[in-house]
Amino acid sequence: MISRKRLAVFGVILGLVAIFATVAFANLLTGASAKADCNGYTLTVNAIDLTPGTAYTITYFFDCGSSSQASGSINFTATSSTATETVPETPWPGGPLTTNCSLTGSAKLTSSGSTVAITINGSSPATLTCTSTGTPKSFAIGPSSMEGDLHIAPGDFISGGYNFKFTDGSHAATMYTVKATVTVPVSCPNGSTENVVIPLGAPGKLDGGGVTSFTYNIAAGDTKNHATNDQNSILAWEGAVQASANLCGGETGRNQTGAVFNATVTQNPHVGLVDWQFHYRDPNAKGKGNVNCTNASDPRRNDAATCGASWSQTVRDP
Amino acid sequence: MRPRQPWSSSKPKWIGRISRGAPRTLPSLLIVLALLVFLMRTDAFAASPRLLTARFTGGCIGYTIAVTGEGLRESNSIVSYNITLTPPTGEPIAIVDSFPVTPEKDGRFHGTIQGTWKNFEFTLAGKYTLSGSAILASNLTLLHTLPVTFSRKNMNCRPARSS
Repeated sequence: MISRKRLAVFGVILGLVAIFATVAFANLLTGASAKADCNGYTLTVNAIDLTPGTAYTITYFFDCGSSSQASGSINFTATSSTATETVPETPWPGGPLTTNCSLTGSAKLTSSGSTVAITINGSSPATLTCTSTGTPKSFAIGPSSMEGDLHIAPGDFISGGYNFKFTDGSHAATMYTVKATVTVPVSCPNGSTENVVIPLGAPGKLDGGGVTSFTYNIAAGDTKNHATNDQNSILAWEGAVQASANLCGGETGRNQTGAVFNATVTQNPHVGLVDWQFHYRDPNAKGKGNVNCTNASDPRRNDAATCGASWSQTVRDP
Repeated sequence: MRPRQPWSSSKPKWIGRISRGAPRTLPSLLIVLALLVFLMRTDAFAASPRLLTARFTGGCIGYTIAVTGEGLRESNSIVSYNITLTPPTGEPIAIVDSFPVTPEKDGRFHGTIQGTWKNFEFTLAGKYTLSGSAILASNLTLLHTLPVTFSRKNMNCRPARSS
């Protein structure tokens, strides 16, 4: 049998434990919610059982796998027994997230150690779909002299084109925007040089469709040549211009150095390396008649000897 | 008749003409001089944008391209470089990349970029002959091209060890 004295001591101990336990959990976090996207987050934390006039600190932490982490703290003085504290829109410390991530977070009231998981966008963890936004990149290929020694007369149609393909079939889908030109330097009899610049736009359209850029929808894993690597296809030509009647003061000039392909490209998102080729053609300089290789209504353009032009070497762009 | 000595102290006739016309000629000369100075300050005689040097150093792992140039006034200018590695047999490897260049006040510019072949997913193995060109461009406008000079034109790269 347990004596009354022992029972009293047990009762006192139990009471003390209960009292201390109540003290330890006097300040509680009842919840935390965040709105987060690839650029940053906002956070709201609720606390109860606070002592008015007392200063508190809430620390919080976000984890997005190995790609990114963020942490911070909220310092506040309680004005009542409850508080709702917020962190205004805050960017991720390493800049916008560029990869998909499973975002989790927790908040802790330091005075009591009360900790809650942060509900992010209504769930925890929250999946953020983030990819790198495409940044334009410029490069130039050449001079490449696939066409040899050209005698370019005023009024000649000169066509230009390109093809590209992604090197690796493991890439994600992307929008690939290409803004490009082919420049053909013409040496004039008087010793000067005049550039014939061919803006490149839509593939297979007359004079590039009158546009100076084109966006290709590239499917995930696509390693095909765009628009085509068939050097005679009309799709292999993205633009054409007619040399000015005043080229070289109306005289025939010469191109022996080849042409230069200039491009500004944007992958959105950036997904991989790309192999590039370009070509150009002045059928008249080849004795094939003055043919615009982007003109589908001119049957001469279908002749491989007229509008078929060798590609430059393949050049890889990162 | 005594021949005239080149070191004779007598003034040539043209000096006499300038001296006599000085009151009228001097303002004209000053105007021409001021015009010249003005034109020089307004870059009328500025060099056209061009690359002066484009130098490749590197090896089987990576490389450095260093360029210098002058006469650059255009904004958003880049130097694009094409490097081709040609093996004794088989397909050449060619890469292209670029970096922005910003001119100083006098139009001179310089830039350096480092890269690795791995960036282009190439692993070099065997012998290669190098060639290439550097291109100065601005907003898709070709400004100048220059062949790249190489610290060595040939490379011999060992095959990668299999682990």
